[in-house]
Amino acid sequence: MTPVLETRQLRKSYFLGREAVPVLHGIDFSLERGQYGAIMGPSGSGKSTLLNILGCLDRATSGQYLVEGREVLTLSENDLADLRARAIGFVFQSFNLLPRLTLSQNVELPLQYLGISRGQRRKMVAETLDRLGLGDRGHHLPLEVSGGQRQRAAIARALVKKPAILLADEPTGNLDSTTTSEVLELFDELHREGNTILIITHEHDVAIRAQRRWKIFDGNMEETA
Amino acid sequence: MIPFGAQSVATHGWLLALRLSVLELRSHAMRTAITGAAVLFGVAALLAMSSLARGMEDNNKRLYLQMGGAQVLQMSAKSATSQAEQSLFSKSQGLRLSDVALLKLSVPEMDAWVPEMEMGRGEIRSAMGRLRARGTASSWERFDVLGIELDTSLPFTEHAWESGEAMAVIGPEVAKSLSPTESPLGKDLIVLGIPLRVVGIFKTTSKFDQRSFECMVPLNWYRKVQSKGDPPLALLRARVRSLEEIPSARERLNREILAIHRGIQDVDLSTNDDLLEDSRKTVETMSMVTLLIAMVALLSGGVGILNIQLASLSARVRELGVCKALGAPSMLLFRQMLLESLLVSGSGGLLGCALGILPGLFLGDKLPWKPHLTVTDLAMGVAISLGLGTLAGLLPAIRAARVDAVEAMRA
Ligand SMILES: Nc1ncnc2c1ncn2[C@@H]1O[C@H](COP(=O)(O)OP(=O)(O)OP(=O)(O)O)[C@@H](O)[C@H]1O
Ligand SMILES: [Mg+2]
Repeated sequence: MTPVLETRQLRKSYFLGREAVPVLHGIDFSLERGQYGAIMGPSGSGKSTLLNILGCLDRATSGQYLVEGREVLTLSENDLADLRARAIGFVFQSFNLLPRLTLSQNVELPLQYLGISRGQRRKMVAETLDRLGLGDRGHHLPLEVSGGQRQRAAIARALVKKPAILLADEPTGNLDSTTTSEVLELFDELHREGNTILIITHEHDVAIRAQRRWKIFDGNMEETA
Repeated sequence: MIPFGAQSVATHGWLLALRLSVLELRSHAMRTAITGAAVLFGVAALLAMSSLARGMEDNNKRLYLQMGGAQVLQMSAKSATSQAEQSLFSKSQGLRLSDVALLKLSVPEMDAWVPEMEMGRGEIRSAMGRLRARGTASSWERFDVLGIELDTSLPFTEHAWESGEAMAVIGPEVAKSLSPTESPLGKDLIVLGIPLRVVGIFKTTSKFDQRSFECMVPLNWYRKVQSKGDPPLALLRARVRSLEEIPSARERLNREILAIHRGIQDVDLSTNDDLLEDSRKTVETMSMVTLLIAMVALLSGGVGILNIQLASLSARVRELGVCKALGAPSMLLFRQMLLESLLVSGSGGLLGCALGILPGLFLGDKLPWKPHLTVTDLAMGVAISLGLGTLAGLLPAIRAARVDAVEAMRA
């Protein structure tokens, strides 16, 4: 079976003036459908850099990256946007809900980008909000709900289009311990329901719940037990 | 996952961008209104100005026709502008009634001559006291040459007019003060102590019509009561038989007047076209100036939009980055941003059009001339505001499209 994500000798360097600063030194990694993975590493080790590449927001300097077998590095900007719209569900540490849209409008947005009809959108948004326990919060603005609810809305926004993969960068970084475990429960459930999930964290407690774990250090990544 | 190519974002692009930009503008209603107001006032000023200018032009054309149109030439005594001229003119007689008879013989291109004497201020009275009126004493042909129409009249004949019977035709404003309640026809005016019967009322367009305050009496009657042998004329009009003969008629007239006046150039000769051209130039200069002012207003409106959009852009960089991460194509963000400024300027422009129409609706009869707006003006108002919105919105829209999602979300 083709993995959902696969990288081969993926390298990324930032350029400060003429000087190349290598951040990722040839990463070989793959995640199969339905798997729940976690990437750990100290600050500055290149976790976000990798996640941005996996999320098709950034391009690797060299190597190969495949999403469901499709080569990504050669895609045009527009095709990348389309790939993000269909295949990638992002969850951010700081939620990043649009502050002037209600929770349901936030969740609806990715479906609009996909050109899905209004009736269909309504149905999908309601289902997803219900699934995440936000059925009665849809008309609230992000500032009107708690941090945990915000993050659940952000997860709903990522999930609503049924993406190939859910990518989460420190999804519990801004949450207290009770809401953290709430969100982690949610990830467990989503995993059981068959979603493919990859999260980034530097907390061992978070990583331990995933099915597969990698450590990234100085731009090299290896799978750990 | 929703399969590739199921529905294309591009086809929904503009509509979606429109919905999202409306959402954005609605959440900043106050800011949107203030930004749009600048465009509104600019467009309204532009339309108000051009409607006034066009109204003035209409008015000038009407005046032109009232003065007899292209075929009428007019002569008037030149006033001296220097000491030298003054002493020169004192050796000449000025424009006099006796000139008319001589000119009639020597300028065959003309088919009608209308001498006009001006009556002194305060000469025209009613039984109650002085009347506000501009008195003109002239010949019967004046009715025909100037195309004067009467609103109402008693029967009176050319013969009676030319033989100097005591009668007068007056404007409606004079009529109102002569006899506020009943018809002034048949009532008496008093000029130089002698009663004159009102036999007609001029037809006018408004009280600003030059004939509203006019009082016209037979030239021969006025000569008789003034008992001056060869009275000076305020104006002498002559109608050229045909348009082709205007240049030659003008030249010959000039020559003959010089001859009669012993080579002293003390008479001004002009065609109505000269006058029309003069007033057209005045209107043109005026509208250029006001256009410039309106343009400056519009420009500051555009700068306002640009300013707000750039500020909004930097406040929303993170959001734009998030949208990109969620799959929004750059083109959508471009359209969204551009539509925001187009909506602001376009609705400002539409309301400005509405405001620009108002003077025409409510001031029409309070102004000396009627403001006149055309559909083209309105279309131009909207087009200018949309053009402005595009110009002001382009830079912020391009920047929005170029936002780097990774950079934006790191901030
Ligand atoms: N745009 C950039 N230009 C230059 N260097 C960069 C840029 N972005 C990141 N880096 C560098 O790349 C390295 C990896 O950064 P990255 O953000 O991926 O780390 P991280 O593992 O996510 O850290 P954290 O846990 O603090 O989020 C860091 O040393 C960082 O300074
Ligand atoms: Mg990071």
